[in-house]
Amino acid sequence: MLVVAIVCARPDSARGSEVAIVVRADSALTSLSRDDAYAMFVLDRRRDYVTYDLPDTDPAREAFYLQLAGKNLAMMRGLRARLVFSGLAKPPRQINAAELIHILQQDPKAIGYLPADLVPPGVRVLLPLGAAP
Amino acid sequence: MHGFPRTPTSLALAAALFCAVAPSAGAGDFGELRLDGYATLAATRALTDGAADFRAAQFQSQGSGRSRDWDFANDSNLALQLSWDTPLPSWRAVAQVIVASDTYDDIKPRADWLYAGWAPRDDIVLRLGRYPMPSGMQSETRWVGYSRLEVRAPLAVYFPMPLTSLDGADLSLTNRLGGLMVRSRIAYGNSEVDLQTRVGDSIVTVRDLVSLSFDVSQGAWRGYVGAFHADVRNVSPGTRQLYAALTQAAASYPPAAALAFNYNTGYNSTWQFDFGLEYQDAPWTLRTEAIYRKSPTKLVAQQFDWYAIAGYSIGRFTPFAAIAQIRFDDDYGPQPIPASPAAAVPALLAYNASLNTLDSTLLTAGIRWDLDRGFALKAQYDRHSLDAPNSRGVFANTAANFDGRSTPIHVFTLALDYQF
Repeated sequence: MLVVAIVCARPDSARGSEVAIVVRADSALTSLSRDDAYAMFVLDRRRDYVTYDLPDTDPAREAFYLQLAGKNLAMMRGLRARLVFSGLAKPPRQINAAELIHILQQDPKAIGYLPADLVPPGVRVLLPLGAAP
Repeated sequence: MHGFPRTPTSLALAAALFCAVAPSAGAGDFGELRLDGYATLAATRALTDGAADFRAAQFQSQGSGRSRDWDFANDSNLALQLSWDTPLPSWRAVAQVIVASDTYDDIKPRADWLYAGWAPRDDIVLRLGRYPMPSGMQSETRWVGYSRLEVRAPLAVYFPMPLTSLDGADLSLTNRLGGLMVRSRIAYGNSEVDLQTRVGDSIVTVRDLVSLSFDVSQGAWRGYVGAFHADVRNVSPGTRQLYAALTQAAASYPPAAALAFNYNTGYNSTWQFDFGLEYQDAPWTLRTEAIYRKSPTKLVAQQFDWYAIAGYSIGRFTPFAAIAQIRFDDDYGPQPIPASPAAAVPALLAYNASLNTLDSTLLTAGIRWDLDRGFALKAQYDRHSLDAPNSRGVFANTAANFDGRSTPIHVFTLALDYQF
């Protein structure tokens, strides 16, 4: 219930806040470099993990890719289109933050990103990315 | 334009793999299917004073300007891509069907992708079947408007390539070298395309194309270097007649022999070299590409073409500006007409009349607006200047007074892109 309330309040409060890559607290993934994160979220090199994206209407998504790849919404759309339609990569599945938190709490192989101040108990910050410019 | 039924060995093999895997997969182990798609709805108005049609691709034969005021066909398309991660380890099948305007100005489907892919490791992919013509850093997304700022793939680099796909095999290796991500790609294939013109259809056949390219990215930078060699034949009733007339004239006027070679009906060795550089770090997008094509005949024009574009994002709006040039790199000046022999005169007059180029300079300004739910709206203005007395630029169906027109031609396009 608390999670739902936080997520419902998120869209405005997330703007300008720090974004962090997160996993379940007991995930075997203990560290992640920016290059590894780029490979997992952008290039579809996920190893055994399952990556998740927030919808592109969520400000945290633009903040995430600005921090991780220096690319805004239009640039990421272009890059994703190139990777998908050249058969090089499949984008992560899009789900909203509430669903993501639920999956993260259930699945130790799940990996996603959230505004840092919204990371709930049971979910661990793997790589803080700073605030959106 | 080729349609579905090209079935050389590699394509048949790809289709066979589709069929072979499907029956062996039970309902529970069918693998994973994924459907992606993109679409563009575009409206174009070219102000040619009714003297020519604007084309977005060389294989198109009509457009806005002369055939119709507003054109909704040349830049519009709808594509579906079905990807199947088969139950066979490392095997994947991909089909992409695009519905778009063809060389006969008909909206028809064609398959640009139809391949079986084998990826024994993350960094190796072998594709057997049909895949896009490897020509330029955007060759794999040439028709995906959503993937770029501009309405259409830059005309200077992509317009001179009438082929959309190859049938053959393609091997990609991806390596991380320090901070660099390097995708090396070698491809082999064949293709054939029909081109409709006012003087009859021509058939362009590409045989034994071998391509090598390197796509390197690091952070905000992406670089591309590629080259291909192929034996190319381009035959139409008009050029066949011209070749025969010049060959006949050469019997009494030897200089016509060299001119005849320009329209020979055999295969000719053709090279193309591609260069690209992109910088994308929000809010800036900068990109430039260039091609040099080396050809011994005028059936495949030898040329150097380039463009550069800059975009700056302000929120969800990205205004952009671009400059581009197409330059034929060969002698397209008229040949002197001899007083005799009389038999050579009509052949040389016909030769001189055939000497048209695409030499032009394009200035572009536009804006992309990224909307929610996978939509992007674009407005683009292009100013075409014809840079040679016998240039028609990218225009078709030209009236007699159009070649070398001294005043610029203005082209306006509105486009709505969608991807899912």
